[in-house]
Amino acid sequence: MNWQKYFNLKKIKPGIVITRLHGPIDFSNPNIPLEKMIDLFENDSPYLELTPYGEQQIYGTPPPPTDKPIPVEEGHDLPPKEADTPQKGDTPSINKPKKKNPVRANPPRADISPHHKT
Amino acid sequence: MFTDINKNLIDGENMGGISQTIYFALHEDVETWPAKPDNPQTLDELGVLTGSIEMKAGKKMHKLYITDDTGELNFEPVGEQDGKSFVIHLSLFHPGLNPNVLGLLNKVKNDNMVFIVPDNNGAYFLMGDATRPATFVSGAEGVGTGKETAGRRGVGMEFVYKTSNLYQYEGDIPLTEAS
Repeated sequence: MNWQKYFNLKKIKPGIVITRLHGPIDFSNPNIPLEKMIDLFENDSPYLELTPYGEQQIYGTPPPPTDKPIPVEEGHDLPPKEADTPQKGDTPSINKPKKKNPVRANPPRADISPHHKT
Repeated sequence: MFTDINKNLIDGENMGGISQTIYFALHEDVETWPAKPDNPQTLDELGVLTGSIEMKAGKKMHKLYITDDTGELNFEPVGEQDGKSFVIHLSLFHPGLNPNVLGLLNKVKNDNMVFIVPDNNGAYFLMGDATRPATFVSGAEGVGTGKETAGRRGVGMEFVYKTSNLYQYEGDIPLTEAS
């Protein structure tokens, strides 16, 4: 299972980092067990960020709604998009930075076993 | 904050000395430092840094081999009453007089450094912070060919780092270039 579908590497080039959790990790290796990468991410590794796909598959976050373009006639001001107007109780975008220690008891983590079809 | 402090040697382990591999970089190549405890609630929290050292783009940390039983970290309390702090001493010996270690000695003797030093029990110690580097002070264990044929040829070094408190470092060690 290629972990790079679930996480982007940031701040470093693909290579070796000695991690406290799992010892030397070579981030140029696409075959690092996904569980190990999740463990690193959930323990605030500065080098990993979730892809939208990873957020959906690992944490079961639903994909964001697609924005339909609003047709505008010339000479008229664009109406404000709903997303630009904060509403009380809005669900945060999945692209916002995750909080520290993002292990969530609820909702439960989606099945990411090797037999899980993606 | 105070709690009982028992013997607490996990699996009975308490080997002396430091690892035969330590990690070093120039102080100026560090982009982000781990954080000192902020409002620690326990003694454990007061004794550990949070986060990882992160390097500037194109920079990384490097390994240095140390002959076994020649490396030591010594934490020296210093200062007058109400002015106490610590000086961490790192002494080591690297065998041989190869150009790369001579070049390292030439570079570090007057430059500012950072070290991550693992001991033999899995604890890491960071020498350097945002305001203070580790600096070279002497050629501990000697630098040269040795006198006798049964002697030891190589480079001894001692570095010091002045710090207000002592902490373990629980972050990562980047051995690949930052982007």
